[in-house]
Amino acid sequence: MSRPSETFSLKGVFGEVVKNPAGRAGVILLVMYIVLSAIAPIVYPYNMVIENWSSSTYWRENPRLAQPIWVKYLSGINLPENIILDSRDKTNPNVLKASVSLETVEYKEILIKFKVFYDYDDFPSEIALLFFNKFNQSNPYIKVFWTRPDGRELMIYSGMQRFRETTLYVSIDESVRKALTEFVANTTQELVDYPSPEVVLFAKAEPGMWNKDRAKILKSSSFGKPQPHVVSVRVFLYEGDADVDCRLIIYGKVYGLAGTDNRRRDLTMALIWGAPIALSFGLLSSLILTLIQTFLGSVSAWYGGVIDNVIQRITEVYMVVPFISILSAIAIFYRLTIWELLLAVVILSLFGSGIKSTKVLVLQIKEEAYIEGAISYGASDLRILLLYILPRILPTLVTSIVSSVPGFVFLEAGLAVLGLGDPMLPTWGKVVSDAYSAGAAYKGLWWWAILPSILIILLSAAFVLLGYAMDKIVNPKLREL
Amino acid sequence: MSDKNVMSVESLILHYRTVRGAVRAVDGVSFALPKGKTIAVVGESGCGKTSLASAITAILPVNVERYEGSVFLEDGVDVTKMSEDERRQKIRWNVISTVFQGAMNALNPVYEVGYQVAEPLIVHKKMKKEDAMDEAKNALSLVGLPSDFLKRYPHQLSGGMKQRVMIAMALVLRPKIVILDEPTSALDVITQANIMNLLKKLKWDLNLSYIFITHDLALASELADIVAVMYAGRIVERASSEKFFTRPEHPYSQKLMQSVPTLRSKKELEYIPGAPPDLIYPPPGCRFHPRCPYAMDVCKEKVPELRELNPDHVVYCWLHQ
Amino acid sequence: MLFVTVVVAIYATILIVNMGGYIDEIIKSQLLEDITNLIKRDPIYRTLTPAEQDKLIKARYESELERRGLNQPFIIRSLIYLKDAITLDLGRSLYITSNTGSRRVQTIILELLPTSVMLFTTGTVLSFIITLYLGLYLSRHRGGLLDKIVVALSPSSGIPPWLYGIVFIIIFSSYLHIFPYGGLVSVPPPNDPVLYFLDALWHMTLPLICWILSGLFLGAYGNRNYFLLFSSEDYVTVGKAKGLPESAILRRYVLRPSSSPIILGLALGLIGSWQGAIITETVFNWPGIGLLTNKALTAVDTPIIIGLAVTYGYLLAATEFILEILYSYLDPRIRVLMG
Repeated sequence: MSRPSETFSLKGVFGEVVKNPAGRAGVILLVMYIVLSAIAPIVYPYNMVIENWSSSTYWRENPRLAQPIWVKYLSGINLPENIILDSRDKTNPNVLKASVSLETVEYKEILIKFKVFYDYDDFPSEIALLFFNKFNQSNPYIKVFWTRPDGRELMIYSGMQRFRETTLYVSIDESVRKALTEFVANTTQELVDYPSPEVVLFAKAEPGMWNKDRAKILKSSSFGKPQPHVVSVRVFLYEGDADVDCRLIIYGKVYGLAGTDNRRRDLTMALIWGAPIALSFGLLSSLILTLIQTFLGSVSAWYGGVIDNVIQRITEVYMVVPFISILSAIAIFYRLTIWELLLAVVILSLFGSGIKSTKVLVLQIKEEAYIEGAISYGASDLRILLLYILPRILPTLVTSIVSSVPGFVFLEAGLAVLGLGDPMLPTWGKVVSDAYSAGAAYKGLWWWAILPSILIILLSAAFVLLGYAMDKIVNPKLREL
Repeated sequence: MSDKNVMSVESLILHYRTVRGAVRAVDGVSFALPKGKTIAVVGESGCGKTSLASAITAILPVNVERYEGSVFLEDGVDVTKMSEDERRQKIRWNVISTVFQGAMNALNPVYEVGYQVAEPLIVHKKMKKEDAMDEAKNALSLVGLPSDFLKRYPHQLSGGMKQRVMIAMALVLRPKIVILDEPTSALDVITQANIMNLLKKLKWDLNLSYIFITHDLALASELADIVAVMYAGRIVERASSEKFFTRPEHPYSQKLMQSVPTLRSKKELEYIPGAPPDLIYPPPGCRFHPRCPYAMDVCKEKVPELRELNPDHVVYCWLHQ
Repeated sequence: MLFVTVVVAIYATILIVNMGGYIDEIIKSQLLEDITNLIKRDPIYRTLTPAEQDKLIKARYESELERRGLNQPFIIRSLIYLKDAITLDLGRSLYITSNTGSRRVQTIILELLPTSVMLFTTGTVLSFIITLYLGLYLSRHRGGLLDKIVVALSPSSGIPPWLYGIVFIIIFSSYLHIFPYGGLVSVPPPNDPVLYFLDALWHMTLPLICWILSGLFLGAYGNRNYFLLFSSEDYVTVGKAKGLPESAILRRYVLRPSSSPIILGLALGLIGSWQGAIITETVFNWPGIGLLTNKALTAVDTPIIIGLAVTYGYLLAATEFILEILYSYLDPRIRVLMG
């Protein structure tokens, strides 16, 4: 029906692509992703990512399952962000650490006070106190008091510090809860078994203050002069050189550009790093496969006969082989990294449909007169293939490469969803997979699943648009349509 | 329109819209076709002859920009003014049919040839399939093809056979006018001669009127009663074949004649310099002036008007004003 | 010829899934360990001397190997697997059982096959029909509003159905509560058969929508271009000149000649649907062979994995076979080539 009748210069094609509105959109999107990929190693150095993405301690101070910060502005609700106060911080006016009473060789009392002005519209998600204890043999003893803006005060914890670093998970600690049960009973005469500390401590003293749906926030600003929550830690030390420092973390509900996941990991890192990974995986697979398939197709068309037959038979076998089944089987048994995965994908797709279409194309070119001319002047096969045939199929080739990229990006994501991806790397597919297995869809944790999905979709859209624009240019018949 | 004319075309215009601009394929064509006669429309490739065929039957492409003029038939109807439904049901193939270049993809590759010949009967005359196929058999025999061709597919036929099928197909509804658009261009000379003979015979037997579109002057001379020379979308000369072949008046026609070899006389073969004109931005004034050896200043500015040299010989050229 | 292809493919799968015999080694050593532990811990055998215990262990081990056929070298076993696979004697699973409690792989697969077919074959066929007619419509109303919309939305089509699934579940199930989260029917399922059927239909809607959306716009656009190309063929002009009605021209002069690659597209779609369904079924918790594949892979239930590969292989081959028949019927040019 048609012949590839023109040769294009790559520059010329590019110029045309930009003129086409779809092509423009594609180029813009692609540039954005390239920029993102370039930024990634700068903002989050590669080593840091590898080390910390799977660790649990690195992310300790992020809130769990926090929404992105900008949700505050969109929803109008002033959602709480993290408030962190550290007694080692000498410059913060809201932090006070002082020694009280006489410093003798044997006894020292330290008072650490944190002032927290809380005006958010929602309760914190968690509260924790980290203690950094320096002592030789005698364990320090601490008492933690909480004074609310409305003046009510209670002791929420007292105990011995046995280790260098201890953490008091205020939200779930037994003794804290007991103290709070008492507090609620005393304040509103309600008897509740397991009140949530982060709700009770921050709620107005009314009936229902233990219930996060009914309780109302006790805001610091609701008093004439803003009243803070004061968390006082009284430390009793029995050694001269002993010391205790304390870090108060009031976990918010929003964090960062993209929120956090159930392991408190900052999703922005995964989202940004997903870009170079997806780009390289997609481009590399597409490039390698298209090149190999074009080569095989050309060889098949040029030499014909036995070679053609063999290639066609192998292609048929490939078509019947259940690609995903085998790929999954391999991935499960061998625990692949992403590059090994790429290799497996390439090997399993080698003899694909691209071979047939290239073969048809080359067959048409082969029949043309100037090829015959080249043969008659004694040009070697290789020379003809490279000099005459290749330039003719180059535009279709490039279009092919561009159009196949999205497929591979989705393949990697899909495999991750099945649990077969690279376990170490934070790819978009992995994030979606984690979100899905944690039931994000059912629990309304939309940002966890939708943000990476949007990024994947836009990346694929970029390539589809580019491919569409290129196809229109390269395929002469489509130009008039 | 006079009684003896079976078709009268007046100032027919057909322009297409393309990326580069409007192609003025048919730019004011007029002629009359007397009953039972053949008019040959002759011209180079790219002069708009094939568009003329579409324009007459009003088969317009999606990108039509301008379609004006009139195509009057015997009973006074104007094809251009009819509704598409009317044209489809009453005119096309019933009154006017077309024989395309059969060596093109003119036959539907997935249906048997016999069916394609019978199709107009089934659709227009509401015949039953068996009856229509019988008629098709007759039509095929008219063009010299045996009945076992009914079941063949287009790809199983040679160029000449396909052309005969096209002819049979065009005649199956016994139309009055047949447009022959380069019917022999892709065939070898022997088959060409056979087809031409066939066409002559059919015209005589069935009292047909032909519009014979071709670039081949020699071929035209075999069938034509009237010759109309087309250049850049316009008719430049129109004459009875006698008058035309003995004394063409338009410089273009003269050049055409001079480039055709003759059997009996010695002749210096000449060619026409230059290239066919651009139909999007045609030259101003007389469109032939860039290639005309007699071009004058007025030719570059004003479009030549019709000049009747004889009742059956008109020319559009400033040389004759 | 096709059959040989299938055989080769299945054998390749068997080899890979069994890691060339490595799995066998793992199973064997696991077996030895289990038996050893069993005997060493069982009080009945305390009375035996260590040497006697060892002998008992060895005897048990050997008989177990023989029972499972593991005493033969892997190559032989792989060929036995192959023969079994081809004759569809798929053996018994390691862990997964069917709803009726059977461990026969055949039963398990057959139980779940209909639900997959119900969803995905319907989806693929529907998708095909919609894109076909949409493409046809667009080719005749080129440049119109619908045309521009479809082109603008075509980038959305690379998105696989499971990704649509995740996003749509969040929007329509979690947020808007219009559709259920997944599964075939609600829990507990309604007793009345009509209600049951409707319930299943309701559950099927969202996956169907995702399946059709994915590939809708690009498919329609591709078809539109394709039909435009075919509409510009010479014989179409002839058809118009013949005064044939629009519908006849579309059917006989555009659709019929262009049908072979379109059918090819349908076949490829069907073939692709068997495999792409795995992730989609997982996301929607749809009880079909896709979900089974996922479970089998996670549990490393080798017989089922192989059984599924065989099933896919046969499905693919069957589809190709039907395709070849349809192909040659629709386009006589090919019929001639095939003799």
